[in-house]
Order: sequence, then C-alpha cells, then structure tokens
Amino acid sequence: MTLSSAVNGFLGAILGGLALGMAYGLIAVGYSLVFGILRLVNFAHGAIYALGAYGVFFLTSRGMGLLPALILAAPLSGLGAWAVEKWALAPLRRRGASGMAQLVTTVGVSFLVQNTLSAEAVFGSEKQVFPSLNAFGSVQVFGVTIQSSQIIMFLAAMGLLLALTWLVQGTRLGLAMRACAQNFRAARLVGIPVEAVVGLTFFLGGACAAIAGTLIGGYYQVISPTMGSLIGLKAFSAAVVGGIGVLHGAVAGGLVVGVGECLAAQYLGSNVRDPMAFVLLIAILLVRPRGLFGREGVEKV
Amino acid sequence: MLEVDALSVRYGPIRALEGLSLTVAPGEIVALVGANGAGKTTAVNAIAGLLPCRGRVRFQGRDIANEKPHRIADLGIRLSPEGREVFPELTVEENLRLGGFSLRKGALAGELERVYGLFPRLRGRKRQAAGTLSGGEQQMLALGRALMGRPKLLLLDEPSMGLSPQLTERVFGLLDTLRRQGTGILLIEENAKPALALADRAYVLETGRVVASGEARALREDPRVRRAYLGT
Repeated sequence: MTLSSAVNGFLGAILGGLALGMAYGLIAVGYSLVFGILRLVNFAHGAIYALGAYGVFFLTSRGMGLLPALILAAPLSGLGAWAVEKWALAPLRRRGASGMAQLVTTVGVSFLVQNTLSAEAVFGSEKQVFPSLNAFGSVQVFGVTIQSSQIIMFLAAMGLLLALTWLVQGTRLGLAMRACAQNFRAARLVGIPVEAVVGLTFFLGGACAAIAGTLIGGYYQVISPTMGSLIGLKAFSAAVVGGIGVLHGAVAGGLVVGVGECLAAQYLGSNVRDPMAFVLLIAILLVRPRGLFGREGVEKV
Repeated sequence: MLEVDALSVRYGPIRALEGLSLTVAPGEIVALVGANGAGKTTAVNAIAGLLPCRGRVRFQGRDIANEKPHRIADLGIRLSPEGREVFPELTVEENLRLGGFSLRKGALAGELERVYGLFPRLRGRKRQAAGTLSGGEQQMLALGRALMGRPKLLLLDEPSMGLSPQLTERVFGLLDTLRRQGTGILLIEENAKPALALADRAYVLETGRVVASGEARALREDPRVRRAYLGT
C-alpha cells in the first residue's frame, strides 16, 4: 500500500463516518429528547425509524418522488410516535405505572410495528430495494471519493439537528420542553400543558427518525422490517456515549459511533463494524460514566 | 372569588383533608394555620389541580375541582409551592418567562420588568441558573414566577421559608400591596404569629379538619390557638 492510498483510506473512513454519524445523531436525539422529559428509554424508536423508511418506500414505489414522499412520510411517522405515547404510555403514567412498565411497553410496540411491516400482506419480511440518495454521482476531495449520498445525508441531518437545537434552545415551545424535563409539577403550575408537550416531543423524535431512515435507506439502497433494531441500538448507544438527555451530546455521540465503525471496518474488517458502537460505548462509559457531555446527577421530581 | 366546599383528599386509605370549606374574596388575605401534617399543603395543591379531590371548588363562579392544573393556572390562580420548585437548570429569567408562559410577547416584557422591580436581586442574577441561587433568592424567584401575569388569586405555601426576618417583612409588605390592588391571597405559614397579624381572616386546620375560623385578629386572642400555635 502506498502512503497516499493509506491516507485516502483513512480520510475516506473519516468522511464516511461523519456522514453516517450525523444520521445516527438524528436518531439519537429522539432517544435523548424522550429520555430527558420522561426518564424513559423508548425502544419503539427504532421501529418508527423503519416505519418512516417503509412509508417513503411505499410512496416512491407508487411513483412519488423521494422528497415529496419524505415530506409526507416524516410527519406521519411522527404521528405514529405520538400515538404510541398517547395511547400506550400516557395511560400507564396516569395510572401510576412504573417506569419499567412503560419500558416493556415500548419494546412490545417495537415488535408490533416490526411484525406488521414484515407481514406478507403488508411488505413481507424480505429486503426491499430503496431509491438511491446518490443524486449527482460522486466528487473527489483531496483524492478521496465522496458519494453525493454521503454529502446529502450529512447536510440534511446537520440542518435538521441545527433546527432542532434552535427549537429547543430558542423558542417558547423549547422552553416548555426544558421545563417539563426538570419538573412536571412546576411546569403544570405555570400553565404548561405537560401532556401535550410530551406528545409533541415524541412527534419530533419520530419525524426525525423517519428522515434518518430515509437518509440511511437511500445511502445503502436497501431496507428491511428489522432495519431499526441494530441501528436503533447503535443510536441509543450514541445518545448514551454523548450523555443522554443532552442534545449536542447525542450529535457528538452519533459522530463518534459513525466514525468509529467506519474506521473499524477499514482497518479491522467489516465484521467488526457493527460491534464497534458497543465497544466504544463500554470504553467511553468506563472513563466518563455520564457520557461525553453528561451532567452531574440531574434529579427529576 | 374562591369558594371551597366540603373538599376532601385521600392518599390511599389516609384522609389528608376532610370536608374543608373556605372562601377567599378579592383583596383579602386568608391564612391557613396548623401544625405539620394538618393538611394545609394538601388543600392548596388540590385547589391548584395537582391532586384528585372530592367536593366543590369554585373560582369566579366556575367549577374547577379536578380541572387540569394548567387550565386552573390560565384562569388566574397561581401556586407558589412548598419547597419552591424552581427549575434549577434554567436561568432566573427563563424561570420568570415560564411564569408568564400564557402571556403574549409584549405583555411578557412588561411583566418581567414589574417582577424585577419587585425583586431587584433577581435582575442582577437573571442569566444565572436558578439552582445556584441561595435559598432566599430561590424563594423570591418562586414568588416572582407566581406573580408573572398578575394572578387574581395567589396560593402561597410557606413563602417566608428560608428568608431572613428582614426579607420576610418585605415579602409580607408586598403581599399587603397586592391585597390593596385587589389580589386574593391564601397564605400558608408555619410561623402563625406574623401570618395572623397580616391576614384578614384565618382557618385553623387539625388533622385534615377545620377546628377554628374567623377574623385573624380574633383568632390571635383565642386561647386554644394561642396555646397550640403561638406558644403563649
């Protein structure tokens, strides 16, 4: 191997990892937002990610363009996530059920969605070819080939993450979300409709997951009903690596996991790719138990 | 403007509040007096919609028992809760903005100015996280947050907790001003003496029931009240 091809291989893995990692970050914020507000790990999140990709797949297979399909499917997937909260989780909280009961419910919903998607009468369990995100071939940067799908994935995910950050940090709704994340009782007392804010948080997370599903589906050009389980776990790891409940932590965690797995695939072989996220998770938590940007003991009333 | 009739609250088998009836008129300070566990906090929490209850709660002629807390807040009832419950990781200004959550943008700026005028200490710390404030400052913030939007009825659960005697005096002075401006105030105080000196009327609670009520001045002279709560 020449020096320049070694450098190219390294740079390629980094750039590819950043693109993939930004999309992971877009999934991870969904975990982080919901965890921040309910102290709940929403295991149905990966299923909503798959649901969004399948929504886009269905619409494009009926002749719709990728972008219009996404504009339709993303809010619908958000509604799906909202419905899970409204009809499966909120009733449990009203009856004073434990966090564990809610957690198991999200696992159940995840299987329900996955199995519905893979039913023969719906999409079937086999993989489907997904429209490519490669809009304009590839470009060469310093001798490294970057696919347009990677550029689009990176920019779209980053744009959405910036918009989400603005929403949470700069708007009245975001202030209400942050208040709910700290103290439900006090939020109610100042006049915040807490249940509506929680529902909206699920909606936002679900819509972002659907967009990430479309970006990653279009990148690999293949989707399957179980596509959300592994990526869901990876993105959850990313959220924990970054410090769960912290928005920019989710993005940083996504980038760390994305770059880590691409470097692992480059230098250790492609079968090391998927476990890498979890190796990083364990390694980083050993050094920083609260994750990269995690805060000290945030207690919630 | 507030009429509570036969209000009862249970925590499982425990009867925390048993048939409480009270009224608060505009421009009136009503004190709720009683020992720890008598049901004072339970009463204001139930009125604010935080606890499921039985009985009637009417505000300006409208039945609000078991209504959602954010709707009760929007009607103009504000609770400054026991233990302050400020949002510790948000800034002082964000806490106050949340107090004015239902206000329009223009009105919000005016209300912020008014509350900073009442508590100048808060203005100097507006960019500081509320959790880093001293206990007394947090109490001022909780009060300021409750005052955003000029509530018609204030429910104050131990507003002097953690305050120095001078600050307590200032807060009581502020309550007097609010009373003259027509605000109704239901005041819980562990420290019954100054509360009865400030209030127009009072109710004495014991294990969830009203055992005495009337003019605050008269209650101060009541031998039972004196023995139990005034230490004389």
